[in-house]
Amino acid sequence: MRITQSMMSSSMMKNLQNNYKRLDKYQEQLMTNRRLNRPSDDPVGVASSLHYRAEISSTTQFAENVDDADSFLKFTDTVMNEATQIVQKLSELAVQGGTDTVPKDARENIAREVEQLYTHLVSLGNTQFKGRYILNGQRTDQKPYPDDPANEKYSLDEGIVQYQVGAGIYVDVNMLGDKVFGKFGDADNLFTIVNDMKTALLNDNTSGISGAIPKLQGALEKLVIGQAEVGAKQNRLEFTTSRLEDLNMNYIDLQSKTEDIDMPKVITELKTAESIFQASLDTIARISRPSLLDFLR
Amino acid sequence: MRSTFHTLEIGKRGIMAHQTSISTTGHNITNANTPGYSRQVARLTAARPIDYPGMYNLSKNPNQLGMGVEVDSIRRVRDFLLDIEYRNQNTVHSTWKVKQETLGNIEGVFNEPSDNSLAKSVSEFWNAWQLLSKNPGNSDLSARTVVQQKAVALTETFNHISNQLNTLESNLTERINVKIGEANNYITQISDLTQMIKRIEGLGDNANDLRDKRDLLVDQLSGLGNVNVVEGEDSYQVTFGGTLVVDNMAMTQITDGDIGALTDGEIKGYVESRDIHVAEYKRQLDIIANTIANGPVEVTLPAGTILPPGVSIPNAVTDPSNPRKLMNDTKYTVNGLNGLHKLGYALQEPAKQGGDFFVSQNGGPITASNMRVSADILSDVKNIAASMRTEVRQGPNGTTQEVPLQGNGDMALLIASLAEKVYSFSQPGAVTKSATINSYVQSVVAQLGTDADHATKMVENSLLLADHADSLRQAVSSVSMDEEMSDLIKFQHAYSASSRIITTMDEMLDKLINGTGVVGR
Repeated sequence: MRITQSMMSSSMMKNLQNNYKRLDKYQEQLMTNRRLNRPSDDPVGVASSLHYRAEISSTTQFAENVDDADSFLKFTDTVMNEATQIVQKLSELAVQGGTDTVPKDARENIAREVEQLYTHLVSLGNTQFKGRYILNGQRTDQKPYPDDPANEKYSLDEGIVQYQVGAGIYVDVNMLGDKVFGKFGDADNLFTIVNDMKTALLNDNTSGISGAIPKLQGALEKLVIGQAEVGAKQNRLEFTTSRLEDLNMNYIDLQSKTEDIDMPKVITELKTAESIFQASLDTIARISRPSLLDFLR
Repeated sequence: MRSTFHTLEIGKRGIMAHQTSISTTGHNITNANTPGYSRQVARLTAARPIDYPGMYNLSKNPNQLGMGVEVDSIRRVRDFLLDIEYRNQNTVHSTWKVKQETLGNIEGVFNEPSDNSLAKSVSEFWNAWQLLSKNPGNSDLSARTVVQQKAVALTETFNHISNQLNTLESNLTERINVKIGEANNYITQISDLTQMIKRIEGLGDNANDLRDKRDLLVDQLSGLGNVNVVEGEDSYQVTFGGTLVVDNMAMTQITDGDIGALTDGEIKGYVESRDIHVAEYKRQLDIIANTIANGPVEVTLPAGTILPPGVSIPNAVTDPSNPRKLMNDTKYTVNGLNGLHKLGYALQEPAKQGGDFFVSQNGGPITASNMRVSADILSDVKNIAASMRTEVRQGPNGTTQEVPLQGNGDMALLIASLAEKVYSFSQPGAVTKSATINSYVQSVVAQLGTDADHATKMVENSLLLADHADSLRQAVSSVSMDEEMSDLIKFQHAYSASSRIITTMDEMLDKLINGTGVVGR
């Protein structure tokens, strides 16, 4: 095939263009630190990359939900702890007041203390967490307990508040008030027990006062069971947290493998491309010059 | 009988022929870099010999006496078959170049994968509902504001991408019109040149440079669309697509209606880019927007859900004391976010059913460009339905009314879970019949990547073929400096030698004329 100068120079230009293209590609990868800058860079990889990004987004959200659930449960635990302490104090007072040798006005004082503790229990029952009543199921904007729950009828909501902590995985975060203090009208209703105890103290009803002790014991056991339930939920959340962390790490790793460059590899390729480019420039300079004209006369 | 000045004439012919050769060589050298130029060669032939009867020959047949050299013609060295090959490859290459450009633009519009993209907006939207599920009541309206804002961001992303695709579409239509004008321009020039060539060649000359010009124009026209050139003894016809645009002296301009017959070339590339590629991604975007808003998807309504009045679910087991209350977890297919949202209750008293969440700005079916958040939700975040339970409660003035349970975030949880649910895609052209929203978006982006990658590879391949065809052409037609230089030397020597013949004859004649018959002068 006959070759002329113009053919040589146009083929040199085309090859130079190819070298430029290669240089450009590696420079872009180094500067963005990603090998996947547009879908066409890796059509199969881009679908995976989007999938990993979506998963990272939702696992991060789930981890946040777990944190929120945990703080809700911690708060509930604190409330129940306080209730437990109050019940223990009431037991002591019952023992104190039930002794025959206690004078009447001493019993009156104890009764007043019991009244204070009763009011405190009611306000504990009406505690709010972030503006929501925690013991009223899903009726979080309504106060669960009236001022005198032993004598005023109340009815709590039994809805369970759930947070999502995984795909299709939900965790219950609230404690039903009836499990803590008992339903209205039940024999083991803590408010009724305390109210009866107060009445007994005011009436010097020693058997009534001593009778409160086993009932208080029962209420205490109920509280402890409730706390165990909260504790168990918190444990489960701990496992969920570490699983979500692992999952997130996994996805971030996979995303990086798909999207990011292998730095040493790209730098090596870039260096190679640069030296090829320099060689091609050198070749162009070398070949373009001499022609027959230089050698005639 | 030979004439006296016969040899002078031969010398003169030699000088003139070689002079012509040298100027042709000069023409070649000066035009070495002219695009479309094919080198020209002066064809030298021996002039017609004359009969030369010998004085003493015994045969009756005369000899042939040579009459020197003459330039038969100046031809251009060009292989028209290679031209055809090049034009075909050029047309194909131009198509892919244009398509690659468009697909690159579409990739830029979608901007995936990145933190500012459709996929990201969708993720953040679902996450906002998670936030709402933890804060469904009056105590914290900021979660509702987040849902509202993320919803607006989502619709704005859809609107934005759709608008950019629309702009791209109208740009492509612009380009098509411009290219049609360009093609008509070439056609007019080709036709003018054909007339000039006919005139010149009618006189028996070779219109080499004009033909080069015309061939160059046809090359450029081939970039715009597939051309077919048929040249006969007396005819020259150019077909562009399906239209005979140049027919000897006659010319036809092309219009919009003619471009449908094109099979390749820039114009076809723009048409396909607009009508196939841009249209495809507009359609997919519309499908995604419409499905998020109204696409059929199955959800599980939790036990204890209070259905809004008038809603009945087949096969649902309801509480005998309250036919609106579900006893068990119940599966139900709803029409997208809108359908699901309408099963919940806003944060209003008395209980108010949720309304459409996404609406279309112009009242028709929801598309990516007309998708908006409903005015209700924009005006009051309390109109976002998060709860699925109500109860009847005593009002302040003794009346009873139905109110939503504020601590119930079941609707928010259900809507958040739509991220993982499988939707039915029954629209024509959907890439799959059923998928989650995320995987549908991923499929569309992967398809875009494949299309763009394919176009890039085709551009490279077709460029290789076009370049190869062009270099075959160049091998035949382009000017080699070294060749021309050595030809120049050749012709120069021949010129000198011819003039030497004249000098020789001159001396001889001088001797004859001035040197003979002067005896005794």
